Amino acid sequence: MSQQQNIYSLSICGRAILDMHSLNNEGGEGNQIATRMVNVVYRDRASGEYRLTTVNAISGDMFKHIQAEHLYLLAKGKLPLCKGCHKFSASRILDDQDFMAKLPPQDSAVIDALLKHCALDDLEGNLIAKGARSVPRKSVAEFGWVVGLPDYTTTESYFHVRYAAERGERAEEAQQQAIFHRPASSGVYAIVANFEMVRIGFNDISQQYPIADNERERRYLAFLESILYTFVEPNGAMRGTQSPHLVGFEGVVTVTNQVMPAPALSPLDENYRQEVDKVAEALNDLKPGAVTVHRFDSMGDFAKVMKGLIKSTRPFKLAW
Amino acid sequence: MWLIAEYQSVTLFSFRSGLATTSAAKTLFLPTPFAIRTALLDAAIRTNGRAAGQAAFEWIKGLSIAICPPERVVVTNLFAKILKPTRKEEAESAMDRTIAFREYAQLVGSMALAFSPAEERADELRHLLSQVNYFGKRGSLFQLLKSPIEVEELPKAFVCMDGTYLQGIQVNGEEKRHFVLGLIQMMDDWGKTLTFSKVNIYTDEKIVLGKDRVRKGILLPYRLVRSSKGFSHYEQLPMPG
Repeated sequence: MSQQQNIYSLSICGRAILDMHSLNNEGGEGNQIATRMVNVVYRDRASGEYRLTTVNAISGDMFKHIQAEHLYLLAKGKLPLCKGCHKFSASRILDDQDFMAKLPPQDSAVIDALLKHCALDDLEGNLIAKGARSVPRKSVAEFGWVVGLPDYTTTESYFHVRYAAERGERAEEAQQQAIFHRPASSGVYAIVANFEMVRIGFNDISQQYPIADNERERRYLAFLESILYTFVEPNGAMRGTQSPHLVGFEGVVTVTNQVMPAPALSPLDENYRQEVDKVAEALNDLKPGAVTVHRFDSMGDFAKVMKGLIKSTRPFKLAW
Repeated sequence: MWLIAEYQSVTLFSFRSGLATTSAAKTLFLPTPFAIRTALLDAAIRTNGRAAGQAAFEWIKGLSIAICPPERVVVTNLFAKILKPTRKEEAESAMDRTIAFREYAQLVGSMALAFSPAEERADELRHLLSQVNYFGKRGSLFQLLKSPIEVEELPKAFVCMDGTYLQGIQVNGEEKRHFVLGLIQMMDDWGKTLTFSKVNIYTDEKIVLGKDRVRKGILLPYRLVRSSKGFSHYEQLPMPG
């Protein structure tokens, strides 16, 4: 049997083609829904000049929510969850009255108790706020903004009619068919995420792991699987009627097997994969063999890379 | 001797100004010296344990820091949904849903940081710099592009974070004969009285603003190119020759 490799950190940078989605919206005004937009600068290919443009984007919060939901589904019945996480409450352990009523006096002991009590709070983080006291648990997962590539992303607003007139909430809606506009965006999106596997079950205050190694490994495997599902099935807003068409996914997964963050670069730059290779080479000069880069050109390739990691790796453990 | 590390912003950057509130969080364009020093201290603790962090605290505090800002900055302003601890006494959930103003900056081009370590600390600093992938704000990732290099003189494109700065109406720090009159941003730095125990967020010791944490008005060489209600686009001014 081959030996399991220890993973300190894992990064994903990639470009995904998402068509006709509305995963992240800013809010509604009247019967219009405004989608999330950000402003970015890019170099025009023909002239080489900088240009400013507005593109559709999905916040890192939304992607983290998607990943957390997949993890919740995987963890249910298999990993310890607090009462808040049992119902997938956004407040997580803060909604566990029994836990909050018995908070230990020392911050370090609070984090120990949290790590033992709930895998979702361990991996996704929380701020234990009670009165004047606040004890942070930093998340293991970090997602950056998922930004549409200029020239390759478009957003349109589509006209809809609600036919169930008798269900109108307001009197005027009950009299006539309600009309509304919904946005849909299509394009190539730049995705960046980083995962600090070494911190699974790690108490940042005491610098110890209060949970057993096999429990850390179980959480790690569920965590890796949830990361894979995040890209296979990107959940989010308006999925009921506007589930996104995920047409393609390419990029790199970088992993480190020593104390070093896995490198990542923005896929807004078209040469990001070559640049990640160069950065990995430079980092491997500092620590030989520390960084491994896995390229993928399709969703199938990505799934294969992640499956390989699930089968052959385990979380790095700090020891001083 | 200066040690220069070149970083690339990987995602949209957000770093709340010390003057902003959580409900209306305007962002700074660059990480503050406070965040840069704390990132180094965090790297020391993460990689070698708390005792190593404590030992590194004093020399990190003594570092001069200079920054070569990215070529362009585009700031997007938007409203985002957030969770806030509830103030209701008999609430069903511990958190309330609300909205908040947020700014996210796209940093176009690389950002270089220069440090002035003692010669015997250069290797340790080089190691710590390779461990840093964010400054102050999780999710606002940065990537070190290559192994940090040593130079004797600080290149002209760098802005000294502890050079000329404003504190109230007082001009402090080393005065330069020429400087670019760009934008002033209020940035925090470690104060002289800051101790390892105070910087440790898990102790009861508090950081006192004005003593342990000093706020500096730092001149950044940027000018506004274009703006609307949703964004502001800045470009770097050439540094004087």
